[in-house]
Amino acid sequence: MNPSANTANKLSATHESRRVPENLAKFINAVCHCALGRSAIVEEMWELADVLGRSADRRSAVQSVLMMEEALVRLAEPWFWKLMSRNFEPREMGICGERAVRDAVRCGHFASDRIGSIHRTGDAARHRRRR
Amino acid sequence: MNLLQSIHIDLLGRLAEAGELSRAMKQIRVMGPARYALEVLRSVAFRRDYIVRLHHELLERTPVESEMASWLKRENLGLDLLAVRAHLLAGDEYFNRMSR
Repeated sequence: MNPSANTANKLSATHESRRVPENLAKFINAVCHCALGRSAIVEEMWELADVLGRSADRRSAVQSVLMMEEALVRLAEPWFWKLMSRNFEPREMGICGERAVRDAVRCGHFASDRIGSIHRTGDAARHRRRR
Repeated sequence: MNLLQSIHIDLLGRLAEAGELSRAMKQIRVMGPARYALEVLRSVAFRRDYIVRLHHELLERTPVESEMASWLKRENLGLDLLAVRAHLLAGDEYFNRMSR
C-alpha cells in the first residue's frame, strides 16, 4: 500500500469513527436552523454530537448554539433593535449600522461631532456637514 | 406619551388603554423608560403572547393550559426570553419531533 492510500484510509477511519448518529444529526441541524438559519457545519456537528453523546445534556448543547453571536443577532426581535438604536455604544456600530446612527442623530442622543468621530462616512457624516 | 405608546405597540402589539395611561406615565417618570420596558417584558400579557408564538414556531401547536400556567408563574416571569427558547429546544418533545 502506498503512503497516500494509507493516509486516505486513516482519514476515512477517523470520519467513520466520528460519524454522528442520524437522529442526533437531525436534531442538531434543526436547532441550528432555528437559531442560525442554516444547517450545522461539520465541526459544529461533531462538537455538539460530542456534548450530546457524552452526557446526553441537551440543554448545554442548545445553550451553546443560542449563545453564538450569529444566533443572538438573528433571534433578536425587532423591538430590541429599535431600543438599541436609541442608545447604542460605539463598539456596537458594526451591528447597528447606519440606520441607528440616523435615528440617534435625529433623536439628539449624541452630539453630531461625536457621531462624526465614530462614523465618518454615510448619512451621519452628511448630516454633520449640513449642520 | 409617545414613548409609552411606542413601548406598548412594540411589546404588546397594542396602544395603552385609557385606564392604563396615568399609572404607566407615573411609572415611566419614576423608574425610567428602560426599566418600564423591562417590566412590560416580564408582564403576563407579554409572556402569554410570546409563549404561544414560541410553541407555534418550535412545536407547531398551542400550549395547553397547564404549560401556560407554569410559564406564567411568578418565578418564571423573570426568565430571559432566550432561556425560555432554550427550554423548549432542549425538551423531549422537540427532540422527538426533530430526530425522527
